[in-house]
Amino acid sequence: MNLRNRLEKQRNILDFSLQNLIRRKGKSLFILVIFVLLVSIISSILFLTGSLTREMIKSSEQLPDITIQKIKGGRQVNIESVYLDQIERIPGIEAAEPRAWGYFYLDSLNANFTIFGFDLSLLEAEDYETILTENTKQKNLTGKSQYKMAVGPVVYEQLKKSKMQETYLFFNPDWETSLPVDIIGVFKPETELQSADLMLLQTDAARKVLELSDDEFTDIAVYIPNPEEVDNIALKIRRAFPELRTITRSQIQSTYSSVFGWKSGLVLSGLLVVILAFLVLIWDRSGGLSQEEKREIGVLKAIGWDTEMVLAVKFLESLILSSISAVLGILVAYVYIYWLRAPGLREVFIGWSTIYPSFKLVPYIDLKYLMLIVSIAIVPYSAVSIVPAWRAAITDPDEIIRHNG
Amino acid sequence: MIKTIKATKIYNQGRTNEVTALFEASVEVEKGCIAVLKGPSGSGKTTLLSLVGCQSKPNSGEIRIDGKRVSKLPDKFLNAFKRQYMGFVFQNYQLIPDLTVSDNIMLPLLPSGIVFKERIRRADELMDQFDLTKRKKFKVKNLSGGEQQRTAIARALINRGKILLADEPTAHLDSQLTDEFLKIVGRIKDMDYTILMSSHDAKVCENPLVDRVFEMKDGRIIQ
Repeated sequence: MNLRNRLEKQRNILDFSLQNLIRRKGKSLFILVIFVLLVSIISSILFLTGSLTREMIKSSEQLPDITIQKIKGGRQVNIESVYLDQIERIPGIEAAEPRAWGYFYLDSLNANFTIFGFDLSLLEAEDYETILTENTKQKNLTGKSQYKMAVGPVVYEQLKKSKMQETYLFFNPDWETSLPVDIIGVFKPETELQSADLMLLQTDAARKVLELSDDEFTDIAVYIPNPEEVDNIALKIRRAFPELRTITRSQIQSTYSSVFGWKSGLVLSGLLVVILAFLVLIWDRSGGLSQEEKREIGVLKAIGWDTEMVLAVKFLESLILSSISAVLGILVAYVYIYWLRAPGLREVFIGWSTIYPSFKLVPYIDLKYLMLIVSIAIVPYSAVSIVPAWRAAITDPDEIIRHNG
Repeated sequence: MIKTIKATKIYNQGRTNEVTALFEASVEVEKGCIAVLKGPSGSGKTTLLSLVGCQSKPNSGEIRIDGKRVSKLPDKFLNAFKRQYMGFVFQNYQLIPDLTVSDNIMLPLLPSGIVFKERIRRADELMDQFDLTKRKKFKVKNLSGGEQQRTAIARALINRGKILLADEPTAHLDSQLTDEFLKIVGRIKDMDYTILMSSHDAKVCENPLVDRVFEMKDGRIIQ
């Protein structure tokens, strides 16, 4: 057989495979729909996990090198300011900053807001440009109240509904009077995953809202110029102050990865049962081949087709069907996660508050995820289809036609 | 051209449902001749035809085609040999119902890599010869019995082999169509084919075209 004949033969195999898929529209469509569904669910979980982890890790780059908390009775308590000087004196530490943060429960919304104390006067005009939206930045810098804050977009929307988008009155039944705080800006939507429920207050105001006494803070943020020394300094702090707990940035990052990885692993392992059921179903349907398909293999062998050619046709059929399913499944997942914002799935992966970010993820598709999806879709199905075809193809045509004719 | 030497075929050998379908059958058909295997159902005609057509292998004995011991050929060479030498018309035609007449006829040419134009030319020629041109785009499942049979014959001839094997070709045909079939057989004989058929139809067995009749009973050649 010359080269031209060989090429023609390959074309014939492809043509015949496509013709078979079209001839068996019902079966092809049935498998395609189930396949697309499975691939899209798996892809959605992998895309979501990948994007969330990446976004969290990216944002965690802004975190302090070490966060120091005080532990009493196995739980975190406020940390006294006396520790500050002693920690700052440890060689290798550039700065140690006390932080005031916590949560404020708003009954009417049945939700917790995250309160964070910050010296807003430190913000330069360009900082406002970077983090706040155009229509709100600096508009209230000269507001009436003594205290000011910037809020997340979801918080702002909620406050707007209560007609408190200019000044919010913090109130607790234990307090004698309410605490008015002017809203000077709203964070940009890009920061939403972190800032959705955030209220960034001036430190004094935050201390009042969180009811911290004058010499107490929530925790201490430590900055270290040499990243090689972080673990060593954390160890020194723990040795010097056994009552303190240190959390390094890399520990937080690995927690983010494992939290989303754990959740996605749980969902994927559940799906594994569905995938297996699908494969068993295909296998069970006359060993992957209908009686008519077996008869056809017998006829093709009887008129002189080689076993390899019959298998090549069946392999191509599986490959075409599973590849189309994989591509469609991935596209459906992309639209579901990045355009429709994962309704039904996002609640599983983010937050515990009733204030959810509007959840606009930056598309992030890792090549290894794609490879995983493609191998999940193509390899098992091709194997399940090829084995029964091979069995039929190595049987005497006479026997197949007798039993299936 | 065709020679079987003490060919024996046992189905399900060693199992409780073991059947000896053919026992030490020896036949010889000369080149260019028409021979008929005659006998009642279950006499082993189809089994002998399938051994000659390389659709299965004998448990013992030999099958020789054009001097080659095909019963000993490995699968790969056997398929190439089948494409080169023979065409087979099955009892129920064994066409692919969802394919068109033209596609069914061209099926045996696909493994040879014969270019599309040549495949079409050969198929058109055969469809013209067997009065199928008007049906070329019809799916086979929509054809009459006679048309299906002619399609099966065209498929068996498209490789331009040397041997045509036909299993009970007139079993589903009425008297008029049987006459038509025999005319076609005459034309194929003129194309220098050696033909071996199985039939229990007297009209076929006693036809003057037939050079030799082998009578079979209970898996044996009795005459």
